[in-house]
Amino acid sequence: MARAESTQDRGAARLAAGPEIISGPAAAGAPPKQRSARRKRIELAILLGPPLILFIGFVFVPMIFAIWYSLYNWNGYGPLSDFIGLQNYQGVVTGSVFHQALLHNIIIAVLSVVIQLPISIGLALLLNRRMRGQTALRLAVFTPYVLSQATTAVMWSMLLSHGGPVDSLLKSVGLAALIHFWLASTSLVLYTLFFVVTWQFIGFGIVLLLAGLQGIPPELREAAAIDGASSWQITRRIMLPLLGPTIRIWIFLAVIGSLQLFDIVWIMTLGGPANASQTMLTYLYFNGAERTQFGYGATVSVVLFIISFVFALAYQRYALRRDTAGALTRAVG
Amino acid sequence: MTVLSAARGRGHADTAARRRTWITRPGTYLVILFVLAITLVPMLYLILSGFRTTGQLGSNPNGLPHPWVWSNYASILESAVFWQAVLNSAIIAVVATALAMVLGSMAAFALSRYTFRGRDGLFLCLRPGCCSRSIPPPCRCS
Repeated sequence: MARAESTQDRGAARLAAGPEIISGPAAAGAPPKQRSARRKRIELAILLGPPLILFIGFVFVPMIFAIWYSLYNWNGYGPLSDFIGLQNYQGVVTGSVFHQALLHNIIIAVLSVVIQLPISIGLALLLNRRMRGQTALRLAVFTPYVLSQATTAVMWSMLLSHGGPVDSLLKSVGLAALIHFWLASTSLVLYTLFFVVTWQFIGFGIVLLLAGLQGIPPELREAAAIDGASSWQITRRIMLPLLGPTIRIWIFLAVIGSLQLFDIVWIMTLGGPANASQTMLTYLYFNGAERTQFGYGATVSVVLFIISFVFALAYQRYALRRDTAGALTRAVG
Repeated sequence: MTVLSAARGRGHADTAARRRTWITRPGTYLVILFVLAITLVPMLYLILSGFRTTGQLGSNPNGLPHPWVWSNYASILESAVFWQAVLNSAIIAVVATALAMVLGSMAAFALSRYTFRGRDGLFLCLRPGCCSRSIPPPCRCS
């Protein structure tokens, strides 16, 4: 502890050194060490105060409210009077629809990593080459990500409607056998939605990975090429390992995004047909807002939060540890 | 000096390789065409659909609009509600970006440049908090 204190003081002294010189002789009252400690505390309060107030007000307080509501049988109106303890939690955890929803989220998350990631890496490697029209191509690939999720959902609802453009395209190229009820078939709807999600978000992955690729010094590739490595070996042994941190961050964002899938699903299918595309958030919204069981909805949100939080902590602890190790500057002094 | 000239020599040698060139391999070309088609055609269809009436969308969803209906786009651009919505979005975008930039960089500076008790704990609390916006506002009805 004593050691930590002394490092802190040294850090503070160094930080305060700049302004100290300016105001030097005028502040001869307090001993310098004490003064700089107080100064540091004031600076920290100014820097951390406003963000913390916002964070507490908009993240922590609503969370506490959600936990509180989850203990009541409440329809969103009137006072909280019907305290039912953990009954809501029992209902969520044992409910078969919630299990289905959770399973759907997990399927989307796994499919994202297994299908979106290789496509993203492939296209990023392709777009990383120097060629004509590179900028236009990157722009085109990124465009869907800029659309609002609501726009994407409405657009694909139109495209995938029965007898719509997708169906007639398939028919015109002689693949009429492939035509299905894309959004009305219980066995297919989840994968249709996964396709739409992929369509929208793959551009983000590609741009992220392109940024990662651009951070790789070209000398490494050149050196390997001079040593006689084939382009596959360069990709496999040099580019992919150096892309590791970017890929791990992408996986994190993709899984968290999959767990919180809502807008596209709600607009395109409302979680149906027969709960076949229910996700945890559509289940939450359906119970909370549509059936006005706000207590139950709050319970789903708490359970979803716990799942996301545990995943986030575990992932950061085990997968991102090396990548974020330098994020905090250890012992400034 | 020798190092410099060597570097320059090398730079000269691979400018040919580095220059942007047309894609020559047909496979790559096909992949790019496919990606472009699957990305852009749906959006093009959406834009075209704006030139149909609801009736036309139902009876003939494919092909070009016939006849072209301009009133959809015109009425949106004339609608006061639409411009109010644009203004609302713009206000949210500007205020949210400004707040996130200013407050975020303040907190980031404090967390990375100062040492104080509880810093690592605070960092841990903030990080997953922003990555998972899990708990939506509990009541949207008021």
